[in-house]
Amino acid sequence: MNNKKQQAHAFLGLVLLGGLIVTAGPVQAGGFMTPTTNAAGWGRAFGGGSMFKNDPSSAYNNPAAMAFVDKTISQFTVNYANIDIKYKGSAYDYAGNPSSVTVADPNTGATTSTPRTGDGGQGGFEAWVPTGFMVMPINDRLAFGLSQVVPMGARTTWDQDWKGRDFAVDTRIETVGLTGSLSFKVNDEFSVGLGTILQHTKGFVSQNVDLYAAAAQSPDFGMIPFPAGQGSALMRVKVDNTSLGWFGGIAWKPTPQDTLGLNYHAKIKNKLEGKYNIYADPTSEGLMTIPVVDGKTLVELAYPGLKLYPGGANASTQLDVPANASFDWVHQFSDRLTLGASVTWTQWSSFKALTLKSDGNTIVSIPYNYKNAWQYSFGGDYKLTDDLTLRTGVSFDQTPTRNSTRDPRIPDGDRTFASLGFGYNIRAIPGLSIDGAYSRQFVETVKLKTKNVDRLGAASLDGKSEAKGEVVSLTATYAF
Amino acid sequence: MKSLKTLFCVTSFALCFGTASMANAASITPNGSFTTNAGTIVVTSPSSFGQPVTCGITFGGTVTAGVATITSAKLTGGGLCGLPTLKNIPSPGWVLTATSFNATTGLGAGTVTNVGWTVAFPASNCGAGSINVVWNQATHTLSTPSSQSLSGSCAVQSLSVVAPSLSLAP
Repeated sequence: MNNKKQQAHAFLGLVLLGGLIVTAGPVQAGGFMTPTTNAAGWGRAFGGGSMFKNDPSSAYNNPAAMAFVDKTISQFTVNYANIDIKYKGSAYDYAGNPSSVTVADPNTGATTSTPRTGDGGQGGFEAWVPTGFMVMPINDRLAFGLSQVVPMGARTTWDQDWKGRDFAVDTRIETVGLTGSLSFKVNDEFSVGLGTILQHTKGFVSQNVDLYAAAAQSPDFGMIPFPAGQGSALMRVKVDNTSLGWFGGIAWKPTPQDTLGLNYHAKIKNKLEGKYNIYADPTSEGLMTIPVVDGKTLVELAYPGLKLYPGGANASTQLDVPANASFDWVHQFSDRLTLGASVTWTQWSSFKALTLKSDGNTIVSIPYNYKNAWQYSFGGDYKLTDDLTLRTGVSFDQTPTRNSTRDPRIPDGDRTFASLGFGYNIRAIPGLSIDGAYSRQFVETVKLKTKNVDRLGAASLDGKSEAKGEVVSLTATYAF
Repeated sequence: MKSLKTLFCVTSFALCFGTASMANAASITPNGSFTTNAGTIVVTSPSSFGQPVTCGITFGGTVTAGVATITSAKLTGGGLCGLPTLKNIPSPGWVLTATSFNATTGLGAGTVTNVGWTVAFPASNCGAGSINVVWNQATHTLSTPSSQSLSGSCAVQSLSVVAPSLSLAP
């Protein structure tokens, strides 16, 4: 027994340590939320949530369900995500001309323009995402849960000189959340649970700012039609924050075959702080740094109050994690067949804009105006043998993005997950099981037809984003 | 002879103008200081990548012996209008010389010399040089007949200011 305890402690240590040391990238879902589940959950395409028997992912997804976990279970999952995103279409400057590389003769000011042809390359990513869960019954009524999850993440990487560089080059939102939760079994049919999450978020975004095109939009600058596409001013923003949130749920077993669950994850206020800098060519840098009138730079003359510091300055942005709620239903049809269904609502309408501030002054605010989104999932288990379980599922995940504001930063469309999975008990090590899943994402081709804000140069896109993805998930579970 | 010349003018203003220029000198009156009302000037330069920049402008100076010397010029307007440093202002000044005046039509012509400006960033070095101007006695308006080029890839695309106190005399 002592030996087993030592093994368990070692395993738990590895789970938590693994979660902390591995860089947590995203496994894209709607917007910049990511599924917080294990390989079994991926195999069912999230159908039934964490309401399947002895699922330790309930520690985060619905802590009330921990009340029905009958033994201590520790679990570590690693997900490999491969998301492919491509842009097809055109980009135009503020005047409606094709996006171009414009070079000015320093002696005459005469400009020559060459159209930009780059489509940005492959904007997607590959990522390894670790997730860990542990549920520990304390007594007949109380259970305690720990988890390490990645509740939010997104990544796109476009070529630095692509035609849409004024909209996005790099975007990375990465989170790691450590959670603790408690469940209370009211009776054999009903339980409640509550938990808290300590979440660390890192954000990195970069894009070009077309300073001359931005100046051309300024009434304070006389709306002079400066040629767009001159030089480069790559703004890079790196911010992070640690924030606290809470979640809770209820679980109900109206019949021996049915388990229903309702969970709610509250909105997490998340003010990210850090620095920005701007890598610019000498002329563009001069626009931001050389005082020309009354100590003001040309950028300040064009946009009064706007100060840009290429060498770096403070930056902050608000990127709240939206509230979400799920209803899960699992029905056991027989000893072999169990099916689950879930509906998830995410309050994406709380995400209005991506606003970058520095020392209290707004540098730029990009409107997004996301809409609330729903996800519908259905999946299940078929126990082929006492040791081997097969899984499958399908899920439809509605995008929160709007046609009018969708941009290459998060070119999200409705997506359908189709999943296959398995679970296998390793008899040689009692209590140890492994689960695997493969999930394919079919993402709706969506229009990217948007116009940039004036301060970024007012360029426009007229194209579409084509995306697809796949996730391979592998879980090791140890039941004590 | 005068009626023949008038007829000639009616049929060909441009030729008339040239003929008048050749035939008549003119002088600016009265002697003493003057200022103009706020007018507009449209310029191009490497600083604006050849794009026209419209600014407000007000001149001041003195008239001596029929020649006006502009010793002050104030540019107004946002953006690039605040950037130029005018060459030869206040000294020796921009010198406005009337070359012709047709009392019948009230139209005159002349030149402004020493015109130029610099912009430190984005850099431009325009002029100094001479630009042609025309005068409308009825409205007391000094303006450019067409875009006037200056060295440094610059130009005064148009200029229009009203100088209520000035007149031309044949």
